[in-house]
Amino acid sequence: MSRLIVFRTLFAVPVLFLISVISFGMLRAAPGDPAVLQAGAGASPEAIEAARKQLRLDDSLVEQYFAWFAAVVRGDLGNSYTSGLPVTELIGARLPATVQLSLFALVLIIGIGVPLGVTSALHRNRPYDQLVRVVSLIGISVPNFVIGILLILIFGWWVTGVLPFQGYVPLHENAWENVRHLILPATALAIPEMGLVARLTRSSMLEVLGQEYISSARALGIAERTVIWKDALRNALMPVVTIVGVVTGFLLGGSVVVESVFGIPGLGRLLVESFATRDYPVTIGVMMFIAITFVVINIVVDVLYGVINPRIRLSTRRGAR
Amino acid sequence: MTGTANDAVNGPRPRDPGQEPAAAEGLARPSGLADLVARLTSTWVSRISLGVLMVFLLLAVFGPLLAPHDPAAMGRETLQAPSAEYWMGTDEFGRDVFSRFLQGTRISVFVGLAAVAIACVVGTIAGMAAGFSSGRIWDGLIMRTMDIVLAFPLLVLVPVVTGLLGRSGVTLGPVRLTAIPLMTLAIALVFVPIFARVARSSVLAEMEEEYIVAAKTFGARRRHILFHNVLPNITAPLIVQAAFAFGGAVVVEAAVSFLGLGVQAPDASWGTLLADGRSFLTLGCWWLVAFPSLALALTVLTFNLLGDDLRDHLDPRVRSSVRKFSRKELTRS
Repeated sequence: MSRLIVFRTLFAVPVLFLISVISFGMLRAAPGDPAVLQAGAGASPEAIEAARKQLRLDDSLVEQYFAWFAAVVRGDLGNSYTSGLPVTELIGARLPATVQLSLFALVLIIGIGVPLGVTSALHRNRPYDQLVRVVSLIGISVPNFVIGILLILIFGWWVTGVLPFQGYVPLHENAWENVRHLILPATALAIPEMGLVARLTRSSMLEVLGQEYISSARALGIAERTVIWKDALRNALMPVVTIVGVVTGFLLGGSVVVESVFGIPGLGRLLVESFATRDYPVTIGVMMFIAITFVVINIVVDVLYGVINPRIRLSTRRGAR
Repeated sequence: MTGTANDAVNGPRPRDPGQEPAAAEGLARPSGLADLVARLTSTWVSRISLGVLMVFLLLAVFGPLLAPHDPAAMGRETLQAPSAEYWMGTDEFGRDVFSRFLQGTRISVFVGLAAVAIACVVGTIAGMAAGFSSGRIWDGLIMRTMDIVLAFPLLVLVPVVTGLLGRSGVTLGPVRLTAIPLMTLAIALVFVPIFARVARSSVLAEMEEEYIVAAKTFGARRRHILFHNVLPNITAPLIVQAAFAFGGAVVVEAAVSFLGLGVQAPDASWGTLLADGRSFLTLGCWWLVAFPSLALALTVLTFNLLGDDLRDHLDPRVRSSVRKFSRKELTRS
């Protein structure tokens, strides 16, 4: 088990290195002189010179990279060009909305997608199954921001006053309003992934149900409900766990557009806003944050997969020897 | 921002990593191009999908000629619902939405096609090189690079690249990349590893085939084997992947342009049309967003259906027809 964790973490090193190199490269390749931008419009030559020193712009690019990298490792992503605040502080302020939105969507995806897939498999080739399959295929095919726009059209024009379709209320201010404001964005974010999870659960369930141990369990007279929801589902969920891990990573990214559609002040909005003001440290900081989170989630999912599926654990151990 | 072969943000996900073709099941392996075409016209689902695909292609190529109005011409009749004069209504400047939609279709379809074509060529070459030198240093080097690219949330990278560098453009030697080509390249990068994986595993399976062994025995050169024997036989799985990738690429472009970071003002794409229309949603101007939404959904749905259909066909477990293996191929080597 620990071997698996070490192996996966080691694999992340080149990925993280690449992320840092690309981030730094873009930070310096972006148009404009970083020192002038950092010092702000109309700054005195002395201030610009000080910023130049601070950013080490007179050193070689390699030295600049290592200085920047050392700061990043210490948790210092630099300061915003526009507000002068540390980028980490800005990210911290925007993080709750994005995390809440992603978690809400994840609950919908698993809570609705998995049961849909299981029941669809149990009614194989009957009208219910056909319906679920068609609906989930359509769900997969409609991008989340298009669903968001259609939801705004429905709740903002057709049946107004039922659900709020713009903005965000922090959890600590009003929990009820907070949830109400997240319903539509989370739905938009969840529907495509829900279709994917339902389809995957269905096919993996069908495969498991055809296996001998299920027939044996039934022959032994174990209650059908136990056979399906315990014996079969446990194995059928294996591939689903992997895809849910991938989906979680995608939710963080997907929320970039959905947050813009619904006006939610999350990380994605921060990213998009930073383009308008050419606030490069914020852009790069948010990109790095999302990238690193994505990598970490992937490691966690791989390890989790090893926990629920001992066969994986064995095979990596054997492979490592 | 990253997602399902659809959501771009959902973007593309590797739908079928390492679709291992059944090696050496000699008889049960149909995969030639002719077979693919036969398959594509055999069921109603794929015929309709192909039809929709052709309509979009024709609109992309000839659309601007069909436009009843100048897409940039403003008029006094603003925010009009669809009518005989304005098939898809007018926007807030009185521009004809149908003409703008046709203009947008061209950009959306062409960017998607170009991105997938680039990704397919680069990915296939990388994958074939890796597969052909299987077990040697090149194989490891190429495929680990692909793993790293795949582990990077590229769908966040695409808007960042276009947002940071798109407005001023990037100069690479004599070539000057403006926003749209830059975005196309960034989107292509997302799909390269997927093609590389499929190409590599197909090459590995194909190299086991007896006719390749025979060709080697006859002393055929490696390059000849790779391009004349292997390549024609691995096109089918690559085409399946291209079908999924096209749907994904179109969505990524729409998402990035929707954020205002891709296609810029005088031009239009399905993404910018959606972005323009969203301010008027609460006024009930459904026609501004309905048609680009429908076009996006239909494109992705069509390619998902086609891809599924083809994949079922190529999956070793469902293979049924027999590939006729001509002597010609052997003697040619």
